[in-house]
Amino acid sequence: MAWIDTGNDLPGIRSLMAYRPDTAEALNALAEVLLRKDEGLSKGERELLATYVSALNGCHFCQRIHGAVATYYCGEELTLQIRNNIIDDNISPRMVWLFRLAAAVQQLKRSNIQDIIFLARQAGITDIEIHDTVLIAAAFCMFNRYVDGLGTFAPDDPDLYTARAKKIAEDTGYQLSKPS
Amino acid sequence: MAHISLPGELPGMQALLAYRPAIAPPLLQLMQVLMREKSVLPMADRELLAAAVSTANHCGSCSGIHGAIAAQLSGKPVGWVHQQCVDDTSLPQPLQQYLALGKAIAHREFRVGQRIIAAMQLEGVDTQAIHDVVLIASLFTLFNKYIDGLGLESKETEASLAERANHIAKNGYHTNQNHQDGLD
Repeated sequence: MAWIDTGNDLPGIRSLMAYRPDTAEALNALAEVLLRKDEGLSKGERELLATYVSALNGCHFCQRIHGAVATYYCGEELTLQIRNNIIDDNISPRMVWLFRLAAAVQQLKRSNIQDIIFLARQAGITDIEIHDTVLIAAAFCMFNRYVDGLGTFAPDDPDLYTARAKKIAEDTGYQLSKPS
Repeated sequence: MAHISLPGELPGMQALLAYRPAIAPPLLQLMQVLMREKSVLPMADRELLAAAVSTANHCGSCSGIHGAIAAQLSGKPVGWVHQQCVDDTSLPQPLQQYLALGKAIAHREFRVGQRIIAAMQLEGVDTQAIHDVVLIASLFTLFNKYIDGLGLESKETEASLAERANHIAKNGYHTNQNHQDGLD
């Protein structure tokens, strides 16, 4: 159960979304525009960034559900590596810059951000990709705080996340997903 | 100079919303629901909370505009508002608790936040008020990191902030005709 009475026993952000549908609608619309496009960054790369930032923030629910969606697109091995913050030679140079940028935004290290963006642009990463990476990182700093700041719970059963991720990837996206 | 090439000379969030128009509707809708719609949290208190969280996150451009809006809505001087953002001890309860909870969320001090929530619940603070304080603090952490992550610098003066704050205080964030209106 969450630290406030949400009137339901749903896990993670879904408990809060069922409690406050007005804000849920806007939050789902935001997740949709951030994560469900293949322009610049692919859907899989966007989910990996969401998983990475959620793991850095220690948010169990978010890293597991977005990790499950990332697994759907990118496979389990890469997703686990990202969740464990192992940024090594198995990661494409382009994605290494984007993970570094996301981590710098998560920690809000201004001087690092400026240097990383300078080098990322030299490596051919576009402004739109930089923009979207910064906004995905910033947005998951919001989602993670919302989920953990109200003490929602994250179930252990991995199948729950896998099933939900499949539904998001193949059917509803975020815009049309329902909390229950 | 921002870290990416942005069109025109729009201030703060307006430049980013113009650059990536698809993100404007959900962000403005969130702002409108959380900051403007009827709630047990007075509108001026919500703006003060936004300014205090932005101060805790060292985002001058967000604390500037939302502090100016809080000043207009509360009828207090801007200087008083910014003083409360760094030292809230003279504020009444539960406003002081709202700010303390908001800062705990900004800093990811969730155990501290849990204790503040428990204290608020003992004193009978409304559940939706607690929910909204946490979500407002989380949302402003997004804005602060977004603006600072892209290196936007505020070129505003006290007068230009007051003018924009006045417009937002009167009209809110949600605009059907033009997303460049409103949000900072």
